[in-house]
Amino acid sequence: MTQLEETIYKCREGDSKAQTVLYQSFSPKMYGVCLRYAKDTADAEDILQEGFVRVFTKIRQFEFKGSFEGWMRRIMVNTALEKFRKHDRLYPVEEMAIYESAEWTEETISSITAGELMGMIQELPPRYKMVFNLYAIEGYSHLEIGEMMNISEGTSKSNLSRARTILQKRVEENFGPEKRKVVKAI
Amino acid sequence: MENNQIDQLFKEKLGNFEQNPPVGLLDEINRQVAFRSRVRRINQIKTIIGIAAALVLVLMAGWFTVNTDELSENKSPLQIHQQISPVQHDTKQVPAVTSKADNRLLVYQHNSGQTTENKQIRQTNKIHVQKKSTTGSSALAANEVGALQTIGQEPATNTQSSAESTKGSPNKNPSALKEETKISSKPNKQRGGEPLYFADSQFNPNVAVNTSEKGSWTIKAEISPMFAPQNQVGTSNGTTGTKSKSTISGGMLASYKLSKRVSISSGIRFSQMKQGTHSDYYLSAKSGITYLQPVEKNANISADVSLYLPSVSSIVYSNGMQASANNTFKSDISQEFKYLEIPILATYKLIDAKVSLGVTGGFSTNILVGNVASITENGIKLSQGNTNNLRDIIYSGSAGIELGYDLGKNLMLTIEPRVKQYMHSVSSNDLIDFKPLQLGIFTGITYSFY
Repeated sequence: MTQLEETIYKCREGDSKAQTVLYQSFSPKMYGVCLRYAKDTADAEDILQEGFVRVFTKIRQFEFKGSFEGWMRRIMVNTALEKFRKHDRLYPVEEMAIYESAEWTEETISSITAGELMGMIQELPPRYKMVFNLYAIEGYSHLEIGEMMNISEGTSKSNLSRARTILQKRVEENFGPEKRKVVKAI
Repeated sequence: MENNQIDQLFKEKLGNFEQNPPVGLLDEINRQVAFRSRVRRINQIKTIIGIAAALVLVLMAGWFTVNTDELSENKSPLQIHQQISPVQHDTKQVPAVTSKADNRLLVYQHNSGQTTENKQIRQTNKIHVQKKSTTGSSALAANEVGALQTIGQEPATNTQSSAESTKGSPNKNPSALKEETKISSKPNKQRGGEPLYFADSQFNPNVAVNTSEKGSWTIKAEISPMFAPQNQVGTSNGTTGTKSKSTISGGMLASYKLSKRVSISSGIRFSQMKQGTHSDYYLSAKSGITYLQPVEKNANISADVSLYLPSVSSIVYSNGMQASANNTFKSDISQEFKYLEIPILATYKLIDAKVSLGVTGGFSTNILVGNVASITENGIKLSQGNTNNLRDIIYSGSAGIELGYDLGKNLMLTIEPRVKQYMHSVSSNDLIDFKPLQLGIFTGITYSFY
């Protein structure tokens, strides 16, 4: 039995020390996940707290099939999705444009920090943010995203496209080698 | 930048992004987990109580339904008695007919040499005998063998004698009985210097009420102080150790008589355990939370106490020592565990009279509903927390002696010394083996439905 499995078994018995160990091991990664789905750090803390409460109260349901980290991650994402559903509102969408691709060097890309990208994602309208996170980072298909968010597959694709456009614009503005002119307004 | 480049950029940079959450979040998570666990447990208990209450109601409704006919028929003997009460009779009485196998049939025959007529009315559980004298002597039925014993007569063993007693009775006109119904209805009145005997034992002051009806229900409310004799002296020096404290236990039980002597009961009871430990402790801080740790590990369950102290720097102890990690100090910890108990008990009556004696034994499911630990110094509570690793459900066995005193009108006072032993450790920590033994003297009031 691995140390992680032992810790999980102790958590099942309600051992608070084991819960502390589990929290210390996974909270930084899970907080990173929460930050991507949240609008700010306070929102991310709420998601992380609710997510860990669910992890500790539902840990008996983990059957050691697959990765525990993946299971926790899914709980965090689901928690964020529930929070999104509760506060799902139509946000005014900024006028978007399609930007021509710029030439990006490896050096330019590596100079962009995770914190800077996180800020861009957090500023996305909630629905775009959800779809972009689920598709581009978590790797879900549009069909799965549609089921998770209770939207159609087409809406998911449309939201992803808009999210990409916004992010592309902001990345170009902040880090692009040169701005390209707007060729088409949506 | 192409779409896939954007996706790739964000996935690479944020896919495994890590950042430490703010300190203190775990504390809030622990509080939330404890709160939800408590809510879940309360909901479970509500469900169990609801099911138990529904079950008791269904059983009682079933019992009343099944026995409705019998209850209505039981009125007949009283009416019969009223019909024959005014009839004059002789002074010398000899029991002519007695009980059947269930000891419920009793007939008195007056030695007047006159003919009699007996009529048997067979009911579900009882047989009543009406006896009519052609010259006015009365013969009555009593429904309890106890009535016969009270007046010093021995019952015969079957109803054959009843049939024999009616042989040669010339007057067998049933209408004669009906005619007497209008004469009088006053019971227990001496006429012609003769005592009148009653058809129903409840009207006879000399007949003790028999509470041993098979199939009857009783409800009981009971309460007791609980004493726990388990004390433990600390290993470091003579001043440390754990002492159990007395608590209160009480609840409601419903009983069902399976036979004259055996009954089973169940219900719900509240019980507690309390103990105080004076020992050496030290403070340790983990993840922003300060824990109080006992120096003597594995001494007993008090070794598994976690108390969340408000702030290490904010506590100054009486000896002037500023509390901090690894500083050892003496203090008192009080632990309290509260349980809702669902017992299943069996009682065997050794003596079933006005003063009864029985033995009781059974098992209980104990559901943890409260877990509080606190640290005090000089009588001041410094912090409150809980005991770790307590099992949510534990099982216990109990045995006792039940002394009962019949208060009349279906009420009985009971005193029951009882021993309760928990079957396994109340803690799930492998290093702690704590199976409390409790002694109680339960005082209860029982109400019988019969």
